[in-house]
Amino acid sequence: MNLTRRSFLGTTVSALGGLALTPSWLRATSRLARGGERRLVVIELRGGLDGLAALQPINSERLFRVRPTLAKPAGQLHAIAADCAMHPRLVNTAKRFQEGGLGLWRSVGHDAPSLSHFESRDWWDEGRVADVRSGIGWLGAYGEALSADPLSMLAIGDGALPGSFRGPTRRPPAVVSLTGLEFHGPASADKQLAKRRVDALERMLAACGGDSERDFLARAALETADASRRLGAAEEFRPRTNWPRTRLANDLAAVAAVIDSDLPTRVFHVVQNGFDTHAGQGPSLDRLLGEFDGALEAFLQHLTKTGRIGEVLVMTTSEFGRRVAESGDGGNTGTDHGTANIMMFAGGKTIPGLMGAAPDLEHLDASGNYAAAVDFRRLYAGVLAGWFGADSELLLGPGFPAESVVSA
Amino acid sequence: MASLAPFRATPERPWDRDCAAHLARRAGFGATPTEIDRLVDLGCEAAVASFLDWPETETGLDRRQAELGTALAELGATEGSDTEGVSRLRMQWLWRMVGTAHPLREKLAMLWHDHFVTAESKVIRAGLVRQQYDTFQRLGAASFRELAGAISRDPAMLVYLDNRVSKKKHPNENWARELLELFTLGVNRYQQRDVAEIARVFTGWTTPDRNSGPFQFDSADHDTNDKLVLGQAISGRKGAAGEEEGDEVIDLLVSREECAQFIAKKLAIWFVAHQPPAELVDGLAGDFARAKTSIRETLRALFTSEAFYAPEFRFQMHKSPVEWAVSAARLLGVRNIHTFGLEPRLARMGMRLFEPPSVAGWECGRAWTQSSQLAERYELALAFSAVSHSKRAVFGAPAADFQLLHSEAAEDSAALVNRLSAHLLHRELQPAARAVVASHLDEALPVTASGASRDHERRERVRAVVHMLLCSPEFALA
Repeated sequence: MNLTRRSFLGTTVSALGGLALTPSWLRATSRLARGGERRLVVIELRGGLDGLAALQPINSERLFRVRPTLAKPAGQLHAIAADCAMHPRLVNTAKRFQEGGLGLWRSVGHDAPSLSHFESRDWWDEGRVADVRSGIGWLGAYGEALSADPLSMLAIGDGALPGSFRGPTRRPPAVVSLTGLEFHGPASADKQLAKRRVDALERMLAACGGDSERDFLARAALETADASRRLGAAEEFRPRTNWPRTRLANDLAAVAAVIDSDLPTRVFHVVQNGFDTHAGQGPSLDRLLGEFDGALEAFLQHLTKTGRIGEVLVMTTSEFGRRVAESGDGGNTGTDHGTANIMMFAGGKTIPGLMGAAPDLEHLDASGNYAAAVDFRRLYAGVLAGWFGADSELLLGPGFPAESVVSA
Repeated sequence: MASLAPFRATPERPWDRDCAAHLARRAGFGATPTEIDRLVDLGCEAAVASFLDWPETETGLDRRQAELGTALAELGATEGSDTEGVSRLRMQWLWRMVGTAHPLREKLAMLWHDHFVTAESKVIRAGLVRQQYDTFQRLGAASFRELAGAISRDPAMLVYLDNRVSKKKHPNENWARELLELFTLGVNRYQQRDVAEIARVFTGWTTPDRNSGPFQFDSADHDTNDKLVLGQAISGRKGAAGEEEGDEVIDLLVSREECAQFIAKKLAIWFVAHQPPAELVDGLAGDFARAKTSIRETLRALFTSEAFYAPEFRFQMHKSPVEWAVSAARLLGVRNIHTFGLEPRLARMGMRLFEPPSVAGWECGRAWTQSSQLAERYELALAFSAVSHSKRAVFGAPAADFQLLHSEAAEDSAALVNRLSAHLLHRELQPAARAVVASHLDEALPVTASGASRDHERRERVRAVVHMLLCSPEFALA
């Protein structure tokens, strides 16, 4: 039988009657039923992280030749291994690596890379295996099967739903803040009346519908009302000390609050924007990586303090790496879209160290990009199977045996 | 080549209020009862023309916009920093959308802003943002070729996609790629090689500095070698003639059938259905090519077509937050739109004009109904519902349309819900939902008093219904 992933998910979900299903093919459900508390936090570095600057090869003459402005002498970087070193602003991240708390994968990508943000983001969001969009995210499919609770997944950021979260039938909440879902009703002196208004609105929405679009809207409204009450309660758990004042840190603190409040959220998504550094890359990346480093460190320290670091796996994604050679000149130096990149894992039971292969900068493709040596879908499989205990082949399709990203 | 069959009114399918309201929801931001009556009287072709054929200047609106300038200054939104400048421009645009007698013009400006995306956060300079908006406003219904040509020299675009720093030694591919993928042909209709070649064609297209226009062609930075784009040779030229290569490439792209398909699909996605049928897109692509890429004539063919009015398309499109807010304001006769804190509210709903989330623009359709955006909608609905009724005619709709909303007998709960549904939703709520609203009125907001208090009670009832209807799934759809 040659089912595509989409038709498989479609038939499974509809055959089992929608949301309240616990398919046997997700071993995760039984693990979770045994009291497992495993959670995943995806940090999306949107725009295309320059992995060659974040983790710079230091022995490649070619790199220094084609990046006369951007490549830094090894002395300015944090030593990681004999052949590569970390960006100056990744102070804490480098320290974590040296202390054995970071899994660092190199040359991650796939065999049909696209240099378009949207095309490439689609591949990464879906964990796609063929040149056809399924519209279903690699985590959305998992999360939908995992639990009927809309809060089993949560995106915190700009309020836009990440593509990786789109389920076959469901759209998990994407919030700007934990209290962002609340509707307070009229600011009336008569609190009782205000409450009746909110109640009446909910009852009206529960009675709305009529066709697929109206049903969708009414269901979304009711789920939101429920999620709002529960998320709002989690805000009280927000950690307040020692967090940098950046957007990413703020969003990771909200993730920490949800985890500490014991909501059943298993998969989180946060995003850091701005990595599309076509021009002015030097100062941009200094700021971006500094913010990333500070936020990640605060989050991991908090998890250590609360004793939950073993339950929370953190991973980074980015739609692509960047061109080996720099472009532009003077203060405008930057890099164009590339292909292969680095990926980072921390927390959970991350297997630490340097994995994958060093970028092969001597053999570039026609656009000037180096080749991927590790398929990102095998790392996704490593998360789905290794961390969540799910059948990754059913979620991602055959041909992507799981890489070991976490220890058993 | 395919084309769309024209709408012909028959006794079975007359040009009626449902057709006219559908046109007004799609080509505009909805219509009040009187406006719908007028569109019915005009007949299909003239009704469509009333949306499509606008004068260069709109005197009344321009005067009111000047008034708005004063009002915004009083609110403290003075021109100073670029952020404030863009904020002011955003407010003025929303004001125009609410106040204009030619809503399609603003809707098209929004469509092209969503198509030829630039973002304030990268462009920075308010002057450049304004200049681009003016271009969309001026050329939004012109030929697509003319619009694309203007945008290729638009300073905000040259900054946003980095072409202004693209030089022969280091061609930058950002503009070249998006020109192919997002602006003219669509993904997978070109090779990476075409991107690289087009990047070389546009080397030297720049501005004197990052902060201002005008466009300038710098032949010293231009790659004068021959190029090959989509299999067609573009001969490299020296000196000022090098600029012609870019125009030749745009001519080539715009004349491709893929471009007609791509733009037809874009228009269909904005005006017909989130997933328009291939047959309709094919027909519209034919009309686009025959109209020599004229947006106005392509839309005329669409809005006067049989297919456009098919019942299965009605009430199936999700309003964007801006469309949602503007349609509510127009149907309620809200004049002082700038006092509602719209800018931060719309941002929380995921839509900051001049700041789309990515170069692909906003994700539309069901994506607009995310949990994070609903509460904000309810709050804004509440603010709008509290507007006291307008005593003046607004935007071509007579004052009576808005007084009707508030003053006519409001004691009969069921009748009140029905009347306001017809006004705001152009249809009825589902019976069960209607019953909930009516019983809420009877229980929580009964009419008991007499005299002035009675008026207050009636107004509270109207407000409650308006609020609930604005929050309904029906109002979120167009």
